[in-house]
Amino acid sequence: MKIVCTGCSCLCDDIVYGDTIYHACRKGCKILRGERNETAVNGKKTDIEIALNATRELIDRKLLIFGLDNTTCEAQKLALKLAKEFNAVIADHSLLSGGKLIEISDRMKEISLEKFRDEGYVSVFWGVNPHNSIPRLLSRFTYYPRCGKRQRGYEEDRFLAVVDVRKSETAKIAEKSKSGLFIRIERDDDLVNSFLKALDGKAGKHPEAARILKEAEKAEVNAVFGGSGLSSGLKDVDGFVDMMERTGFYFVPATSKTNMRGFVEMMLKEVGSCCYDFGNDKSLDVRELIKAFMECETVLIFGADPLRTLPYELSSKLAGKRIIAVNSLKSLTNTLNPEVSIASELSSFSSGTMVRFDGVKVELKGIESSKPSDKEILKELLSI
Amino acid sequence: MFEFTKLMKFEAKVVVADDVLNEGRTAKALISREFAEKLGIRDRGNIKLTRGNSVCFEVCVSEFAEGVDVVLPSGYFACKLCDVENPKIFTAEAEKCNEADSIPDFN
Repeated sequence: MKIVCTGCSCLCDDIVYGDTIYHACRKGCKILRGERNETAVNGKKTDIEIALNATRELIDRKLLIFGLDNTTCEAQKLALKLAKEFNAVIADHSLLSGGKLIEISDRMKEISLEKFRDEGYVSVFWGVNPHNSIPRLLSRFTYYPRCGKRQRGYEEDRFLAVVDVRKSETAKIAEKSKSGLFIRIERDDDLVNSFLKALDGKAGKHPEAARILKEAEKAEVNAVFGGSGLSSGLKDVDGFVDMMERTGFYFVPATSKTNMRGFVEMMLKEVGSCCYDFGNDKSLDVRELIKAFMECETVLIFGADPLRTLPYELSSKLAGKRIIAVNSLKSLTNTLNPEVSIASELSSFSSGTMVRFDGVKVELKGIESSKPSDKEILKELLSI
Repeated sequence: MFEFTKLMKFEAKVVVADDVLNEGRTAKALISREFAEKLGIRDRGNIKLTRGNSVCFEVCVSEFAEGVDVVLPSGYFACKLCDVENPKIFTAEAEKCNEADSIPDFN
């Protein structure tokens, strides 16, 4: 059976799932073979109807909906509807990692991974280590493939530049390659300035910027893949956008959360911000989100594990709250014995759409399953 | 013999990286060779990082921590040290310790 892997935002659609899993990376395998969650109310195993009834009783007061990065676009839309109906706060991980890059990506030229695979020459991985976060990005789309205009392999037809504060695994590949370059930075804005100076024929703090620009002259299609390191380190966003415009590079926000792009795009279209409080009708910044975590009474978590992904100052606010955790896999948050724990089907086996980090929509076919998908759970809660 | 390095504290530049080491139940971290020498620590030694909360990590001396002092896998332990303004990169106080922390049993 062919499925789409929802292990990361690459959304690989060539995974063969059966007794043996073919083509999946270790991240995908970990999710597809992961220990499945169980439906329970107050720690006691139960069936889905009882869990949904218990959920309906809990979500009526001061609700905060969190997560949703691993669910389909259809489920995200229903969650937004639920948030509107209950005057709730709705948020995902984008305020903390990568959301800023998705928000600014429409100010720059964007490219699909397929076009980059066929025509791309220089790929700059800035604050991202795809070896760990998007494991098949190099082999399927950016550095190793031979296809389209790039038939001679990575040593001649690709140029890999890695920008990071440390020597990551991807940086090591770049360092060892004849057609690669690793730039170790302390501040992202220094490299932006170096690019801008190199464009004016001057030397900046990082002279490697000039070499990248010289390599980029060899092809029309070159791209910067910005990750969570760039998102948290970049202060001068306008300078970065200016640099991207002047260099002619395409930009791809390489966030690793599966469908974060789908969530952010929906939220920007519907309410203009990726974190919104429908009770007070305003968008929230990260400090206000902490306050919302403190003030809410019920937290509805969809496909997320806040104990593993949120800074302690946020996740510690979950103590004493009524928690409803909807997860397909067992998570650390589930060990907190939430009031309600609902086992949903893995996104890979649910039907719907997800948005890959380059903005391309990927269709998930779904299979018949005894477990409900996130979309079905939300439909039940909305009684539609 | 009394080890004076046990009393020494250093400021460590810490980076939180996606999925490095596949965080398990025991707290683990990558540490650069220079920082390991500075602390007087070897592979599978333990360090305590303090930044508001304290977490003890078992360390692995690795080239992938070159450029910073410590690389933490994203997950429960990294979340205990970072904050919303600095979720990826921050400084923490580092010292030697005897045993690494494990994820508590919340049940």
